[in-house]
Amino acid sequence: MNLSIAASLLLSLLREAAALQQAIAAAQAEGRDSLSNDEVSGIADRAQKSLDESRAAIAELPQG
Amino acid sequence: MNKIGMLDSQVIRAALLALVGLAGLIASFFGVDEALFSEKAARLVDALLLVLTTGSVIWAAYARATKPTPPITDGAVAKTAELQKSQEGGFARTGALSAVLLMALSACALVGFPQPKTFNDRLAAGYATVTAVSEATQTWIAAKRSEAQRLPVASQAAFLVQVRKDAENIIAQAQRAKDGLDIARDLQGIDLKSAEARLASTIVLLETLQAYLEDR
Repeated sequence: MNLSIAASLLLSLLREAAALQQAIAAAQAEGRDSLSNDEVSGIADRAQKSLDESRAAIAELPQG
Repeated sequence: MNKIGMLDSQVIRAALLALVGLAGLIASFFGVDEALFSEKAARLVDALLLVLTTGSVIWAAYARATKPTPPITDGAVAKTAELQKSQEGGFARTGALSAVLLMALSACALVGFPQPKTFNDRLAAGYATVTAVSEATQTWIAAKRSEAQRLPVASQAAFLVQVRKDAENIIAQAQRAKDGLDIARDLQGIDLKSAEARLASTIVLLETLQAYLEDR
């Protein structure tokens, strides 16, 4: 299926929102009112890893 | 798709009828019916005009929802053809996906899923958005590479160079947002007010980036 960038973004946002909601629900089930600093660090590391992967994909494209 | 005559459109006919009703009501506002009829008859005329106008609007909405809607101008013919072309091959429509997302979010709220409210939760939501933007960019690059293969060989390189520029710009902005979130996280233990301000400005940046991507 050929998705536009907007559709792809919406799907990615939905996936990320679902994962975040699950993490928040798990924290609340443990009696915490918020995600811990370590959990936030894990999510931040994943964002950086994805950015690095994007740079690798960009590097495969021809330069002007 | 071929166009049809303006007056063959049920929506246009209903709109014209509503316009007649409205013209009558405007005339009534200036006292035309009271000059012609008794007060009781004038009220009856007003009521009939209101029924005519309301009925026409309902008819227009019903016709638009349930009847075929062939174009009635050359401009609409071109736009209809463009729309049909974009829907070929299973393209997911942004509007439909937005509706799905909205329904999913509403469903989350209905089943009692927690919403990000605390600083850490909102920070995590910001990072998750950076990840989503980055993943969407990767998908977009892959789609553009496939698209390039269908172009004449001579124009493929120039096309991909433009894709690279766009992608570099998007990822630079996403990295800027991620760095902003990092700063907000570092500030959290020192100055919560500044951390909140930094988080808020970074979320605005992410929203701008999302809007930019949605326009691509």
